[in-house]
Amino acid sequence: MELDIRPVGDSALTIVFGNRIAPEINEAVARARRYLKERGVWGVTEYVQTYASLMVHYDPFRIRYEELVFLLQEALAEMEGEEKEGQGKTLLIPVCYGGEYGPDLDFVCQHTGLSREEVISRHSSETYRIYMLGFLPGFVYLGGMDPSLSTPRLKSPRKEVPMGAVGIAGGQTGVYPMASPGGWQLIGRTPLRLYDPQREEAILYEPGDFIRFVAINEEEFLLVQQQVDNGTYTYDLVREGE
Amino acid sequence: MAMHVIFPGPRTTVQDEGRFGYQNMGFPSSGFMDRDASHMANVLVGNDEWEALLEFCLIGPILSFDEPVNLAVCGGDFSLEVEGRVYSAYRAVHVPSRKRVRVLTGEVGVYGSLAISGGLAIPRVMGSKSTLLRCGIGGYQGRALMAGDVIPLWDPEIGREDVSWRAVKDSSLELLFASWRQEVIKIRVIPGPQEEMFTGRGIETFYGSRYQVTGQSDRMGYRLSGPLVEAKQGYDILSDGIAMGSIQISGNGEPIVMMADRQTTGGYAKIATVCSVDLSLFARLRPGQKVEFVRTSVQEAQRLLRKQEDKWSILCSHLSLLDMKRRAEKKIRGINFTRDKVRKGNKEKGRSGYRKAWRKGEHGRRKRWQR
Repeated sequence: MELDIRPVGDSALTIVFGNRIAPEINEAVARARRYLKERGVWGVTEYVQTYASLMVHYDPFRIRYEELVFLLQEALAEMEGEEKEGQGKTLLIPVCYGGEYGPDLDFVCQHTGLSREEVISRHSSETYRIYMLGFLPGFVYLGGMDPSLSTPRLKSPRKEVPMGAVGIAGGQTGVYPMASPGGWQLIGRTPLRLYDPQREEAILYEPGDFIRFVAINEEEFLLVQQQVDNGTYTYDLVREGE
Repeated sequence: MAMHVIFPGPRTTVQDEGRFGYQNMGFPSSGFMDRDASHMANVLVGNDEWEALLEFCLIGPILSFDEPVNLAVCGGDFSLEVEGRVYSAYRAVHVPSRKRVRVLTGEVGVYGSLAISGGLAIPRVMGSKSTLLRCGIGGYQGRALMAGDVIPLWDPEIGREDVSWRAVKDSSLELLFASWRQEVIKIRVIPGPQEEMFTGRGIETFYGSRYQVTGQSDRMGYRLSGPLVEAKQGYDILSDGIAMGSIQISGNGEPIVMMADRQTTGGYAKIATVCSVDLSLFARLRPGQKVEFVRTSVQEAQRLLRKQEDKWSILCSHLSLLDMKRRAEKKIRGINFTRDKVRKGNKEKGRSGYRKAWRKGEHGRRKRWQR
């Protein structure tokens, strides 16, 4: 199996799986990462999954570049021979759309020509693949948004987008795990704490997992927020086949 | 037992080796900008290399300590001023309790590493004490230090012993600083991962020109100005991973070298990556200094790393031998005193009595230094 492997300096390398955004390419990256991580490869310190490539960080004092390339090729060849495991898990994220939680929802309706109900329905009926995380800790790059919802970014970005804000920028959708400046059109907010350093899993999801947004009303928002603050909220994680 | 921040400096943060294992979730690895200097500062005061220390940008802090400590500053020709005396960088300085320590800036270096014996007793966030300023994560309350901060320290015992024999020779320092002060510094880089996106001319320009460090440089990355690096079809790529030292060519054709707080992924083509062995040197460059990139293979880069590690091991064992020698000398001259007598001796006697008392008192602290 001929892999496109390139050095990125002397302490990392990248395995290129493709050159476009496509679910099957990203799934190949996700599968490789999960397999290699579980199997363990000598000298590797961490993996970073992106749209179509897998970056492998390693300790050059424990393994040399050529040796690592050899090990990775062996391991991935082994992986090809094995049965495909299930895909990543799906996290259900409750979102309160519109009103004070989604100040740009009206603009999105105007721009797309769709009613509020249509926008909410189309946004929350997809299962979005998490292609990668980047820009901010826990910031998701999601794929699969309905193109009819496409709306350009704000002309001038907000100084602060609140934590949990769900938005649209161009053909992309996503959610802010922490407050940050940003130019996304905000259509809703989730009461979930997507980033929590006190939690065992600081971020609830990883690349290769999926996200579904579930519409809730303000009452439910406040209830969930309380539960999250108390630590009594149970996250809805769905695995394939359940 | 704590450290008091009298004056913080414009951007002083707690950093350690870095936050590893979370880049896949979008967490920058953060950590020391100048790894070599940080390792050296830590070892000089008797800490493990990767221990948390204070990293300041150009202007260092003014501090005081509840108990005596050993300090060392590295990464440039910074100095420590204590009780009117000035000590150079790259040496352990013993600081008495409740005396002000000031960091002075020289002509070389940007990110200074100030190590404190015993390290900082602050909690780890996701396995690390490094600060990610952009997101308020880690370090001391997720932010840069402010006047009035009181930062807890470990083990007052470890600071009582004056270890000022742990120092780099002045003559070596002179040579070191002179080499960093050159107008043009050669930085070795490994080509890729997107070298094929650049034209032959672009690649030639990149390796054949001098690039100047600009003032738009910080812990995320250093922007360089110089001749544009030509690409075949624009600089955008499908976002992929970024390593420390990755050199992105951004929309305006000029290089940005990604550093400790860089984002984990990015959409600009990367023409090369700085070799680990030259990263610390690169971090020390001030705006105005110029670099020339030297094409190197990954094999050569790793060979250089191993060679550097060998030198480092020799230096550490040398320091260890020096420790044993100096402590052996002291034992012969001193008598066993209890800790109370040492304290009493400090107060009652004059300067020579103070020194005698210190010598005598240190026998109990041996075990830690023998690590």
